[in-house]
Parts: sequence; C-alpha cells; structure tokens
Amino acid sequence: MKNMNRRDFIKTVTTIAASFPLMQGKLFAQNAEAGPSIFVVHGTDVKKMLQAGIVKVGGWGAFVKKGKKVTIKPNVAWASTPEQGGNTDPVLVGESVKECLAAGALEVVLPENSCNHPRESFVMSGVDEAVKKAGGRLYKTETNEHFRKVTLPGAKILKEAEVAVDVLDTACLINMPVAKSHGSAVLTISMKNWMGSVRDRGAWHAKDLHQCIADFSTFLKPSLIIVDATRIMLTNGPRGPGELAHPHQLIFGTDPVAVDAYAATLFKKEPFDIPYIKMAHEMNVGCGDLAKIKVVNIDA
Amino acid sequence: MPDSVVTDGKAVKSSARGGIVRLIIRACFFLLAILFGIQVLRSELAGILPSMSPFLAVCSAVGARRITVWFLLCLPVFLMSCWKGRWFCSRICPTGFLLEYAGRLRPGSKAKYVLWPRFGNVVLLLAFGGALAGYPLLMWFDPLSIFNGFTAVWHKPVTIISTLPAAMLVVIVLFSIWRPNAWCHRCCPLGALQENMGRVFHGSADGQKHDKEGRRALLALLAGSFAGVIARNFMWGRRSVIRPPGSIEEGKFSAVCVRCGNCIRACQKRENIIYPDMGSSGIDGLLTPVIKMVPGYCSEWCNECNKVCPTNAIARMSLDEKRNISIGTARVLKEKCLAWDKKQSCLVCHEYCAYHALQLVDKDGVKCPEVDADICRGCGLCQAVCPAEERAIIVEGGVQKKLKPVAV
Repeated sequence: MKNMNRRDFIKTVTTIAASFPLMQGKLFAQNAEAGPSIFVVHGTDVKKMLQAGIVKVGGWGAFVKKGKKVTIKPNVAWASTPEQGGNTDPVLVGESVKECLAAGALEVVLPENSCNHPRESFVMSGVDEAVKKAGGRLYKTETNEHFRKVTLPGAKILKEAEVAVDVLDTACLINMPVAKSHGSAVLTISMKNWMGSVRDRGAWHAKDLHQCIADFSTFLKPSLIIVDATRIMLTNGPRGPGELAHPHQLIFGTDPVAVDAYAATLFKKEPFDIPYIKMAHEMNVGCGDLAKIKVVNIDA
Repeated sequence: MPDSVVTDGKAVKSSARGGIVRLIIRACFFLLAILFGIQVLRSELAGILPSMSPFLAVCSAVGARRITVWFLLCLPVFLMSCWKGRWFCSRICPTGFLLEYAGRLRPGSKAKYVLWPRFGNVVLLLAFGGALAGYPLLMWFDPLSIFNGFTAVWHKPVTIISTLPAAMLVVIVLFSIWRPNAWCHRCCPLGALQENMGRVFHGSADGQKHDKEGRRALLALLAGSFAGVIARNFMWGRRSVIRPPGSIEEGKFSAVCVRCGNCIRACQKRENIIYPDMGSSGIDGLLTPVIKMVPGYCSEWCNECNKVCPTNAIARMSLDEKRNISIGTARVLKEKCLAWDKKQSCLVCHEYCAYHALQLVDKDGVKCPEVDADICRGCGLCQAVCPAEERAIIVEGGVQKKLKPVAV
C-alpha cells in the first residue's frame, strides 16, 4: 500500500462503499466461499440498533413470510433482571415481535423451556411484558404437545431429540440469544441457546455437552440470528448475577458458528478454545475461522 | 360457668330470633375459618385462627422462647375469658360449632360426661409445665389448630398420609357424636383455660374444692415440666431431617409444632416439598413438617411457610431473611457425578445454584463441582436438576444456620 496515491485510495474506497447496497440481502449466498458476513451494530438505543441491523440483512421482509408464523427463540431461562444480563433484552425481543407482525406475520410465538420457573424468569426478565405488549406469545414448553421427537442425521452423538414443535414447524425461525459466560459450555451464545428448545437437556450434559451442542446445529438452521451483546456477563454465568461488561452491540448473521466465534472475542476468548465452536466448524455447520469471517461494523 | 353451652342451648329455644342471629354469626366465623385455613386468600390469614388461642400463644411463647407481634391476637379471647369465662366457645370457635351440631345428632344422650374429670385442665397444665421446661407437651390438643389441621390438607395429591393432619378433627367429631359436648367441656385445653380464668375473676360456685384443685394443678404442672425435660432430652429414635427454613431447634420442634398443617398447605402453593412426617424424625415427630426435595426445591423466591406458623415452630421471616438460612447442606456423591466420575462437562448444579455455592475444581482438565458449606443453603435445586442417572448431589439435614447474605 506504500505506493497508493490519493486517487487510487478514493477509487478503492468508493468501489467498496458502492458495493455495499448491492450486496444487501444476497450477501450470504454470494460469500459462501469467501466466508460468512456478520453485521455488528454499535449503539445504546436498542430500537435504533435493531433497525440499523435489520436493514443491513435485507429488512424484515426478507425473513418474515406474509400470513405465516414467526418463531423467535430468546433466552429467557433465568430469574434475572434486564440489567443483570441473564436473559435477552426485553426491548430487543418486544421490538422484534412488533416488527415481525408489522411485516405481515400471522403470529409470533416464543417457546422457551426456561430453567427457573416462568413466574420468575419470564416476569423478572421483562420479556413477558414486552412480548405481550407487542402482540406475541411467550410460553413455557413443558407438555407432550409442545415437543416432537426428531432424528438428527448429521449428528455424532445426539442422534435424536425432542424439540419444541413451534421451533420445528415455522416459516421463519429467529434465534435471539444473549451472550454470557457459562460454567460447562464456557460461553453461551447462539448454538447453545437451542438447549432451551429441547425437552431433555440433562441428557446433553450426560454425554459430551459440546458435541451435542454442535450436533444440534447440524440439524436446526435459523433464518436469522440476532445476538444481544449490549451487556455481557463475564462471570457467574449463565445464571448470574456476575461481573458485567458493556460492549453495546447487537450481532446479526445467519451463520451460527461465525456469530458465536465473533461473540467469543468480546469475552477475549479464542473461538476454537471453545470446544463446540471448533466442533461445529469442523462439521461444516458454519465458519468459525475469524480470519474468514467478514465483520461489518455499523453505528446506530 | 361450666356447661354454659348447655344452658345457652336452652336459652336459644326461648328466644328464637336471638338464636338465629347467633347461628348466623357462628356460621360466618366457621366459614371464615375454612376460607383462611385453605389459604385461597393471603397465606398469612391461615395463622389468624390458631393464633387466637391463648392456650397455644402462651404455651408456645414460653416453650419456644420466641414471641412475635402475633401474640397479641390471643388477647381478645383471653380478656373475654376473664370477664365471661367460656364466652368464645359457643360464639366464635369453629370447632365448638361443629362439635355442638355433631352432638345434636343423638339428642337423647346429653350430659353423660358430667362426672368425668376435667381432662382439658390436665392437658392445659401438662402443656404449660412442659413449656416451662422448653418442651410444651400436648399442644396439638388445641381446638383451633385441630380445625386448621383439617382445612389444610385438601390439596393435590390427596393421599392417606397427606390427609392425616385432618384425622384429629374427625376423631373429636366422632367422639362428640358418641358423647355430646364431652370434648368441649371435659377435654378441650382452651376451654379449660377460659373456664379457669372465669373462675379466677368470678370465683367458683363451690369454694371448698379450691385447695384440692390447687394442689392437683401444681402436681400436673410439675409432671408436665418433668415429662417435658424427659421428652426433650431422652426421646428415642430421633433422627436429623430437613425442616422448613427458620424451624426451631430439633429438640423442641416436635413439641412446639401443633400439626396444624398450615406450612404444608402453604408449600403446596408453590414447590410442594413439605410433607407430614411418618416417623423419619422419630416417634415424637409424627406428622411434623419435613422436606423432601425432588422434584421440587426450597425456592429462593418463596417464604410461604414463614408466614403461617401459629406457634413459631417455623419463624416468621421475610424473604431476604429466609434466603440466608441454611436448611441443610448439599453433598456431591463423586462416584455418581457426571463430572467427577464420567469426565463430562456437566456442572448443571453450578449453573442453577442461586447462591453460587458450588466451587469448580479441576480434575484432569475437567471442571468438577464441590459444595462450599459456608454458602450452601441446602435449598435442593441442585438435587432437583442433577442429570446423572442417580442424583449425584443430595441435601443432608442438620442444624439450621444463618449464613452471610449472597446476591440472588
């Protein structure tokens, strides 16, 4: 770059800048070889951040099918307040529900097999109230009717699982986790979030948790992932309360491995030091190689 | 003054309107007692009825060496008894109401008990004597706690064991059908207390009996104290169990607890882990509340049982205070643990623990759980969620301790 003159510099910059609008929406398919892209929105107003991010991935219309169901899987597992960061931010969840309905969704359902009782986790998180206000339906998956047994052909260990029906049968599946530390999984971001959609997660702990997490992601592919990293719990996760950091970020993407790998850097961790990210990468669930992931930063 | 119910019964016939008013008032108190007892409204209300008994209030305060503002609830009945003797029995007492009408089922067999000794007085004196020694015997004879015992048990699942606290009311109803009014007038310690107070302030009809009765009373008191000391210290077969948070020391619990079932009922609202004991705490602990963890646990968001105890066998505590009480301590059974034994990254116990009582220990690169006994509350959530084939972490009972607060 030593020899680059001003004219060349302007040319390069304008080419890159001009190419952005063209790439929107189709970006994921185009860049299959070059590695996935993720969009990181920086800001403090979650509503604005959500809007800025969703525009970059093609707008709600690219994911929500008119007159069809939308399923959002937030993390509302713990009796934890929004400030403590144990659950997905209620504003993010509520606003997404509202936008999905505005984009023509028939209904927005949010099935969650919470760890703590819903009367604490759903209520303390503020998510229950936000979802109700927005017109969605958050519920605890617990009865036989809520689950269906499926086989996972690509799995190494987790050959079958009982999965929330609303997660399986939906026109649009949005994974909306919160990033935080975790005792046995090291970090919980997007792939680990599916443990809240299965019935017997104890079985995962009993037979190589990390492999089970990677296995499940060979099976379940979300339409979109939005990670809440506005505040992240560095210690005492997943339940907290623990030490917090405030990256003030929302991470948008469709490649769960790329999203998790990037989010791991917020905790100052090497993605491949987290076994399930490495396993998922090796099983071609997605790309966890930071060098290949294209991170697009946006301010909102 | 004794046998006032009978005389009142005659009065009822002479003034039909007054009788109906009184019947309505009694029926209202009866229904109110049921409503409070089944805890459909606030749990705290269930404590009101048994707390109104000066027999329970005095004996438990003396016996437990614990007193709260709820003690004041016994004053109305106590003061009325000084003025009017057994005034409460035939106007408010829901048990008295029930037994009176049970007795009327066999109208021909009245007053067969008149020559019986006053067992109620003996119970009263034994209980108070025991209370002085720190072990108030026979407090579960109290008619109001018996009534609560009946109302508290109708929750799911209804089993023989869960309904046992109701048995006492059934027994005294049957007894009252057999010998109408005999329980109220000869066996009820609360009735005896009121009668005694009435006598103290108005004098006995037969003054000569006083000396003899005084001597007998002293003897019964001493017997109660003696039996209390014996029972407290030498009761055989007593074993350590997990009691509800804030429970009084194990040596006193079986006496101070009146088996009213309030705490069991309160726990049903949420976690359903308190059961009437069938002997695991020793023979004297029959029907006292014990905790069985799985599948529930003693929730960090619940202190329902700390709102309802009429005798302070379970202390009244705020949720914050309750969170600092350890009802037991969890122990990791390493040979069953997925982390210790199978090298799995499990740590579900660590993940769920609201108090962060599990420390992580590195064993061959696998993080394994270990309980910090200075933090563990023994709440049992770890035991409830442990995914190992057999629970690899279990709570063991012991002396309850007050621990340092932890942010939840």
